[in-house]
Amino acid sequence: MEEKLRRIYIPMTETGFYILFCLRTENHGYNIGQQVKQMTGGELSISPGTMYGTLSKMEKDGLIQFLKEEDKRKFYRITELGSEILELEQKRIERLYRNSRGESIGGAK
Amino acid sequence: MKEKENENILIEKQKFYTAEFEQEAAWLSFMHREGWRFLSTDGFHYRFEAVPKEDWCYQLDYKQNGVAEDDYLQMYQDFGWEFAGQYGNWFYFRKQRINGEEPDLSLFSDRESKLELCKRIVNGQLLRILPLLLTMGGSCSLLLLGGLLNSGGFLRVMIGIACFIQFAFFLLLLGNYFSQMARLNKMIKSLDEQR
Repeated sequence: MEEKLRRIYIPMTETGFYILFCLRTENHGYNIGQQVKQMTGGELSISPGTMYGTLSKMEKDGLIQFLKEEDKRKFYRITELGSEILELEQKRIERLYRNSRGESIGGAK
Repeated sequence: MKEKENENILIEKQKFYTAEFEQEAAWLSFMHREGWRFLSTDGFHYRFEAVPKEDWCYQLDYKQNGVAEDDYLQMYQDFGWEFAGQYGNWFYFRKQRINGEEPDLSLFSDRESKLELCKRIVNGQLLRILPLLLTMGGSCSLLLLGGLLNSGGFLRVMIGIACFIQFAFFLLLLGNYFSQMARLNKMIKSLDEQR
């Protein structure tokens, strides 16, 4: 993976993470927004400009790919590169979570 | 019929500069609360039509390619934003506030995407002004050079005046551009400091 992409996307914004996470299955902008709202109990709400901008940028950077347009809505799905980045990000968040609970990961001297 | 149409249409002269898009949106929201619904703008005039006084929130987006693609407008519509008009790269959206409730009334829900918006505007305005700057700068120096070399007397004075006017205009344009960019960069900086 390119160092540049790693720098841009890790750590990811909360919005970016949820959008990429919701694209593990094919999905379109508004539906992603609804899904995120539901998952977070309404705590995270993504506005259309943010959604449109993030999708365009992730597509340009090859994290997601455009699949089809239906009823004027663009459907996307995560790419291999996107999955790689998502996985790195999940691991980072997991570490963060465990550390925040006072656990230590261990392993390093 | 025509007269009736005129009664319902209001044209207001108003100029908002690049960095004043938030003030512009606030003004359009104010106009709607006063019973004037935004129809269109040419950058200097705003056309409104008479409607019942309602509480609508207006917001502007800046799109680099300036094209109103179907999926772009559909996305905003899905989120409850009505497409209200376009002027160049600027897109106008509005959403009704119901019973004073405050739903998501921003087009951008996080700091990063607001930052992206400001950067889009800075880059877009540079691209827009670049050819103008080049032609004006070029023609200015050509005029100056040609005028001084090839003519005498009256013609030389006229060319000198034309050149001066053009140069003054050029400076004015450049000054305005830089002051707007400075304001935008200030916005970017303050967004960056929230990090």
